[in-house]
Amino acid sequence: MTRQDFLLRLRSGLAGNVPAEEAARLVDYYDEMILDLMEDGRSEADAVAQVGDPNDLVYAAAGTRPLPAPSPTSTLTRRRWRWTLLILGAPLWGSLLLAAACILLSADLILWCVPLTGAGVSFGFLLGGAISVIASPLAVSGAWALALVELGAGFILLGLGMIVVWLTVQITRICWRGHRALFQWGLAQLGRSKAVIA
Amino acid sequence: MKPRTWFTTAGTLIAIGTLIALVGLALVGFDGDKLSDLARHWYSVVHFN
Repeated sequence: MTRQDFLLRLRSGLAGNVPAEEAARLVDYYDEMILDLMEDGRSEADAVAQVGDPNDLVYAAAGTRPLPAPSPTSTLTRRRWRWTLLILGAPLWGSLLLAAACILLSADLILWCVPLTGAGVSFGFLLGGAISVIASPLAVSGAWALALVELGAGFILLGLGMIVVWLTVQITRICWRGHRALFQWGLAQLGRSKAVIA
Repeated sequence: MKPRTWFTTAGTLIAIGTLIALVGLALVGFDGDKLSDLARHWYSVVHFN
């Protein structure tokens, strides 16, 4: 390749890909480099080959050039398009969002069923135990054996109630952590979607 | 209340309750039917049934 061919290809490659001043500067720079190599005793073809392929130089120059900032008009148009698509696609993404929210709510309700059951069981044990213990003296005059069994059952129920209360408190703490994690995850997903839309 | 105290109290209540209930059951010769008859009779007297 001759020096003129090289410069021609370089100039045409740079045109439109880098600013005109930058293209002129690069052409002069590589021209000077070729001339320097020729002065050092290299042949024209050798010097051109030494500098490199003009296409590679064009790609390198274009790649290092900062991207032009989007014009306000194109950003506005893109935003309008996004909102249009968003509104038109509402029946699809809206129902999916509603389904996801319902699933999240169901998961949360299932989560709270466990401590709710624990609370119910402990309440039943404690109430039953208290009634049994309080009512047992009524049976004393009628039947000693019955009164003792009732009193014993009342104590057993109170003890079991205490154990279930402790377990329920522990489970509630775990559920509260799960509840927070679930909703933080949900809100994070929502925030990510907003960021994508914006 | 610490968990240990809580469980000790609960365990004591269950143990005492079991002992008292066993004494009551022993009085009727561990006969569930007899206890049931007794309860039915007693609560009919006090109008619970």
